[in-house]
Amino acid sequence: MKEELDSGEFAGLERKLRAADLSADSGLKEELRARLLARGRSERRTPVLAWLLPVFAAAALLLFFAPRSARQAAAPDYSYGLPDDGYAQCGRRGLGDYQAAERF
Amino acid sequence: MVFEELYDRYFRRIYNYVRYRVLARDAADDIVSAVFEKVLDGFDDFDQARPVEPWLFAIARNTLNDHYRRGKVRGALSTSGFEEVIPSGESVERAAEAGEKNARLLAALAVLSEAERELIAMRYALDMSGREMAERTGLSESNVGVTLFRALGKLRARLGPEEI
Repeated sequence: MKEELDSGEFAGLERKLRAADLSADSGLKEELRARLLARGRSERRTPVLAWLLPVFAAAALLLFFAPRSARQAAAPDYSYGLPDDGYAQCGRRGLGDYQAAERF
Repeated sequence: MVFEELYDRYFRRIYNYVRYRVLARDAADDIVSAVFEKVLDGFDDFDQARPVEPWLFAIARNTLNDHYRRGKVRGALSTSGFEEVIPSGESVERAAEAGEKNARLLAALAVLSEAERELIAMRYALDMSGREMAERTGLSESNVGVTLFRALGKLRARLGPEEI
């Protein structure tokens, strides 16, 4: 199709359309170029992970300070205790213990 | 290829592609800026072994379509005259100061439909083949050829023989 049109009646118009520089009346090219290159340079200077450093620092502070006191404050009180049934840390007597024990 | 090289090589083609479609300079400036911002965003991840043009042109086309979808341009365009085509109020005279030839060409393009301008833009700014244009527009290749032929006829009639 390209060859057909180029060699046809619109060859001059096609050349005009291809050769046009419509950015000629706009100052965008140099302005955008400078902006994008400046952005590229600043991004290279600041690695992506650098933005995470403050987050890591805050997380470290929290781990060292806040949770410790929070754990102490929120620790449940397990001092309700169990009556000493003679089985020490093994816990309360089970059904088998009751059945095995002499009642009277 | 470094970004700077890509920018210098393709700026004019991308700008022409966008301007052929939206006509207005301010809108074209905004869209082209957005295109190259996106290109820079994705440049480090782009596989340099792949051809750059399909990637770059797809970004340009998608950005332009997003712009149309947001309604920034659609509805503001008119085919009744070049002054009305430019939403920023830029006059023919002001455009003529910057480039009389471009102003006449843009005024002539304003008589075309959006679909015709899209084909003109793909063909003469991006240098796409009939098959590529058909793939991207969903038209048949022969339909693309006929539409383009008619669009060129309208342009020639508007510009006059001395302009061509």
